[in-house]
Amino acid sequence: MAIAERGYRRWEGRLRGRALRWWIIARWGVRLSGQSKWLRRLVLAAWLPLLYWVLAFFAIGQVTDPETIGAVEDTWQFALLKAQFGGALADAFVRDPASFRPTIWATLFYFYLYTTQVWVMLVTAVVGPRLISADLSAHALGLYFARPITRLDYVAGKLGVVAFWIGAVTLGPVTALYGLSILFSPSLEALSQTIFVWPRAAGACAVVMVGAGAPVLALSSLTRNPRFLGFAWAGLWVLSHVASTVLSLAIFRIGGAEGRDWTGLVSFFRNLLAVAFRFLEVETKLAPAARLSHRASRWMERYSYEHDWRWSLCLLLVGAALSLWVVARRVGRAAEEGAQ
Amino acid sequence: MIQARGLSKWFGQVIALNGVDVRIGEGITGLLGLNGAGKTTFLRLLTGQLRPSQGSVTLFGEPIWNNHRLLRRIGVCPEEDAFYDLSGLAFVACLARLSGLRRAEARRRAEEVLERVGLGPHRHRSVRAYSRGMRQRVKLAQALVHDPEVLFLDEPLTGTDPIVRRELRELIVALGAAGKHIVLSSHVLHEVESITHTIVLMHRGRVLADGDVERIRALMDEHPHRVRILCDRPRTLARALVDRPHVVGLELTPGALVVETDDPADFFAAVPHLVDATGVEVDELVSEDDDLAAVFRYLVERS
Amino acid sequence: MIGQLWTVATLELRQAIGGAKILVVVLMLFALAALAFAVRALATPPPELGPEAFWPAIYLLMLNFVFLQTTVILVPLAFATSLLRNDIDQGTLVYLWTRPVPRPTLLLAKFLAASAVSAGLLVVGMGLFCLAFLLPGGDPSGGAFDWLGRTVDFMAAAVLGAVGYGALFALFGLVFRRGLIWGIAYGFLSEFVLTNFPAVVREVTVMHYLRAVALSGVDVRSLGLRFDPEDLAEVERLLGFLDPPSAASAWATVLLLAGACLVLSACVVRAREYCAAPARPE
Repeated sequence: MAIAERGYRRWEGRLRGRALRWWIIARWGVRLSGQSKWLRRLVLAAWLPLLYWVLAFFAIGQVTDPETIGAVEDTWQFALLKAQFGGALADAFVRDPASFRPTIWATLFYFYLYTTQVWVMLVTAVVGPRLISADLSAHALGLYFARPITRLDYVAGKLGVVAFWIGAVTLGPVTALYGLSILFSPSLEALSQTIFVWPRAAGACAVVMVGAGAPVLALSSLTRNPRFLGFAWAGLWVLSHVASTVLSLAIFRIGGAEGRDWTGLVSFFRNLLAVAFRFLEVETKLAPAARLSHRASRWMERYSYEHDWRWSLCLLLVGAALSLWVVARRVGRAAEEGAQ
Repeated sequence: MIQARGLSKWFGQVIALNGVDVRIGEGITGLLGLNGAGKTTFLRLLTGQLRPSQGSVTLFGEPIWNNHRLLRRIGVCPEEDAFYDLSGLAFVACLARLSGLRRAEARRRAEEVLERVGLGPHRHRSVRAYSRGMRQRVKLAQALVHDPEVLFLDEPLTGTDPIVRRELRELIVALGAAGKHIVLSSHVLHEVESITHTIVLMHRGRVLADGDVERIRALMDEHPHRVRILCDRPRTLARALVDRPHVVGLELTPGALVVETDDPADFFAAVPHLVDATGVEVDELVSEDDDLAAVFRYLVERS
Repeated sequence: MIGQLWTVATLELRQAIGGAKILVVVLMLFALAALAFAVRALATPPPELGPEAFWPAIYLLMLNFVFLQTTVILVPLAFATSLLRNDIDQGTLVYLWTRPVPRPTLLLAKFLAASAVSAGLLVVGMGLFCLAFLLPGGDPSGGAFDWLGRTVDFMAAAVLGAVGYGALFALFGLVFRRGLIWGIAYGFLSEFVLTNFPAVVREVTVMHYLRAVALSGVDVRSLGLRFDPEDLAEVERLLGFLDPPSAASAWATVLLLAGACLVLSACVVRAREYCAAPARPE
């Protein structure tokens, strides 16, 4: 007996290449999550501190202009530079911009990345929790997997959504800042001396996107009720940071333990920052300045990490890989349950 | 019993209820309207869950908003399919306690009403494991448990199968017969029609009509009624009808004639003579405006 | 009325204990106990500081930093900001709102239950923390430090924090649609940053008074911290202050604040609409 198939009709047209299917999920995810007024406000708020850095680079451009060198001591631009870097370093920079430009740029970009970490935490706490748990609770996985989409496409698409929003508060402003800083520079020499900054800062941002994006997806896949996940996620960041500080104080700073302080590895913040610190080569770039300036040497002491940055990178990448494995497993299981 | 005067409710820039003036008396009253008509908003205003943006609503002569004493006299069966994670008995007994009943009394009343709504054998099972029909019953039970004078039932029959629907309908009619005043909302017209003839028709946040169905029909008498006549020679019949004083419109369709008349009584009296005179063979004569659906359609179209 | 209060409180307790929220909080408390264990196992007193001075200082510093400044804010934040939000999201608010109980009474019952859960969790968490710190090697101060007494002081501060922050965050949850986010922002800015400011600024924070209760039995100067002045300044900053208000006035101040927040919450809940489902026009 012939059965008239009246349900699914095979698509006769051409399908898009497999490599881009995750992109559709990511694009629609970004569009949907972008409807949140809160998220848009948060991203806007994250860009506001950039104004200070723009001003700083504008000042740097002005004081290093060959036409004005020697006559900048009384200007507000120089005052700003002094307030930021201290008199000794500011003086040295104005006298010899070529030698100190990499120091100044690397430090300023690192400081900017430092401030973005709180925004990364908040943005992921707002976007991340619903990404998969909402699909689970709405039984929407069937909608995805009824199409020629694999679990990998799905996970990559969702990671793309959270990475986009992390990028919006890290990579986006960093790129804009780099573009403006080049525009403010008096000559193309600045570009050649600081060409390392953008790719390295972008690399650090990419680590943040994956390192912070994947774990929040894993959390999201663990429950169908996302209401409390934002809190749990923010709690994880804060508590890991507090634990790291307490361990450092108790074991190394007050306690009498010898050896390198490894406690930064416990903190989510510090692992991300340790990678950015190394990527931007802040330590190497600050070293010549530290010999001149007390403030620079203090920065070296305060911001450098005693533990090997490669451990941080390794922890972040292993954490991300584990998280994505959890997501793929949970999604696969949920899809199977839905199909039964 | 219930009176709304110039009652309006808006959420931001959306007007959900617009200048409603209505009195709801004793007995069972059906609140009818399509989805989005403003029924749930109206019920929430009537039960003190929302505050009027403008106008007033009173129950037994008192405003209901922030009047917790008045809430003792009402029972609400909400539309939401939401429950605490308790057994049926614990759920109803817990809400009975909130209504002011003592522990033992609350439990006794809960058992009683659960029995009444047909959930007696299932009272120890978790509410979340109940079927849709059982959940509707347990919601009804919690509304009844403190023996209120007025019951507000928001879409009580929605999502239930025909058997449960019939049983719930019978239960509501029985409650009405036992002296409870009931306001129930629905968008399914024939359901309401089978429970009560007193209705409030709502559309787009306004009350289109209220009162007895017959009264509404009387209101409609100014409006041409449509009568469909299935016959072998509709054209001949149309020719005979065209000069009749109360016939205001004729429409020929294959095998049928649709007549619009502003005096149905005169028209129906005249039809036998006309049929006799023309020799047309009539198979069926249907008044298109005969049921509540027509009343609703007419009023909605007019609005 | 007592019966009604008790019923609402029981429902709130069931909601608080039954959800994933409590699982996260319990995991967090176990993680903190593990932290105490790790510190005890890994830290060693410096040569210039004997164990009788080092371990009590570290213990107080950890209780202050890990509990008072972090967990005592986070736990009430989790439970108090969602007093009505749970019922709104689940659609069960209609059952409470249509019963003959004044709304402020319903709110009070919910607040009491949520505060009890927060306080209970914090006290148990501190107990675990203390056990994890002391169990590995016994009393490291050789009887010179009153571990139990000081822990009880911190527990008292935590209970007070559960009430004070609970009332404040309950108000946030009623006034703001996203009370949790506002609570996090407040907790971070006001209590985490301002509390480390000098003099008058920190006196407007709840934390200032909680520290007074927690450290009522300790004179920071007498801890025997004899290392270099910069570190001492750091420890003093972390422990809070050297001249706290009295414990009694701290209790009175926080309870007064909680009372004021509850009165405000009662006014808000009477004046505002909270609907079981999202306030969408039908």
